[in-house]
Amino acid sequence: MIRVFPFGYVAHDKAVDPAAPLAATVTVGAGGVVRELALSWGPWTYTVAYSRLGTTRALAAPANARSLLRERLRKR
Amino acid sequence: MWLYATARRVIANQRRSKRRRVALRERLALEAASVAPESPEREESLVHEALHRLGPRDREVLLLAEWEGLSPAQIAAVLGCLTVTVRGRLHRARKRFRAAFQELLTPNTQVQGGSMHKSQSIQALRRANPRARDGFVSSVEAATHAVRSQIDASTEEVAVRHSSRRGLGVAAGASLAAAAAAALFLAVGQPGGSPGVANAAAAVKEAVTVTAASAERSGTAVVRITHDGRLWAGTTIRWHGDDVAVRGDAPDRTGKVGSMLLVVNGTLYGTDPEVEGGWLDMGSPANIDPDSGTTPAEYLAAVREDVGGVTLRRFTRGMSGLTSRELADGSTVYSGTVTAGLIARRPASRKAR
Repeated sequence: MIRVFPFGYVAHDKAVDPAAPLAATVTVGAGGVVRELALSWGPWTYTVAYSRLGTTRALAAPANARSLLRERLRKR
Repeated sequence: MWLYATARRVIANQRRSKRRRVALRERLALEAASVAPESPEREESLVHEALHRLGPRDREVLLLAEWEGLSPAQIAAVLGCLTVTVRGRLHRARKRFRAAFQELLTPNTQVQGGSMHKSQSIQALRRANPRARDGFVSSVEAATHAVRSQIDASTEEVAVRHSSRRGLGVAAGASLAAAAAAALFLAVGQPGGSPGVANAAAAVKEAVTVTAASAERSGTAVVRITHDGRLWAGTTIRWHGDDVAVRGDAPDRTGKVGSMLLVVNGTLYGTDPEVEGGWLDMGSPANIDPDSGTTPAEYLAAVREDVGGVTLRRFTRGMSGLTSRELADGSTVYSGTVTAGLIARRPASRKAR
């Protein structure tokens, strides 16, 4: 049975065993916001680093996108 | 024209005066009708219980204002936020404190003529200020000694420095005694713990709450798995409202780095494998065949869950044996152990990748 970490990454080696203890750290910035989560076991490390929480810019649609649907219709 | 304008202002002034007089009469009537707790000890106990019912952020801002006597601008400097934010938080904290205090008071007293006036609860809070008590200085010295001993005894309790720094950092150059006294106030009503000593678990929990709230609107997360120090897999996720961008930072099957999946305004885009720097407009994420593997909808639902408080809480909930250390930049690293099953879970759907 496979097990997955947050964001869908497959766990390897010792991390597959639900009872295995993993070393964990949480880094909290001076502003009181979590900056990083980290796990380590054997040669593996898994980290999630957060930034620009609440201030990340709005995402823009790409201007040069090729429409897959239109191309399929044209081929028919 | 001038006469009309003057008359209008005079009438408006009279109306305002009348409204104020009526409000004052009602307030005095209410205060007279309300019954105070039967003893100062009882009142203080209710104040502490009401404070305990508040969230840590409400308690912090309220006590900095009411017990420490800091102005909103000074509190803003302590908390590292805008003065206007402090005013808002203070207003809400006072409101919640009043509600909690009144709820505790009502079953024990016969409050007549409606609810007690709002200033009564705040006055009770001010009367319970330990600074006003005899023997305050010796209490602070005792608290200082206790805090110093605990810092020496356990690295876990370094969190008190974190708490003190966040809670009362405004008192730049303040002595440890002042920090201990502040911590004593801020931790009031915490059951079962030494006053003033926030433990690491509580500090992490608070950080998770703050982070989850900050991450609700937008943010960026960089995920990395390394093996023997080498990058095994990596993704950068940016989100803003319902829009999400997911970029692969490790080489994909074709050896390319930087493949992207993007959802903006309900339209799914992917990097075009045939055109360098090009994009494919794939329409609605719902257009993808559910049997074709992990669908973008599943993928994005998982990402949305993973960037928020759910993952943060899963990660921190089971941490044990916590220790902490402060870094030069003012951040704090909490270290501990967590069982793999709490973090790496059986996939609920085909979202493993």
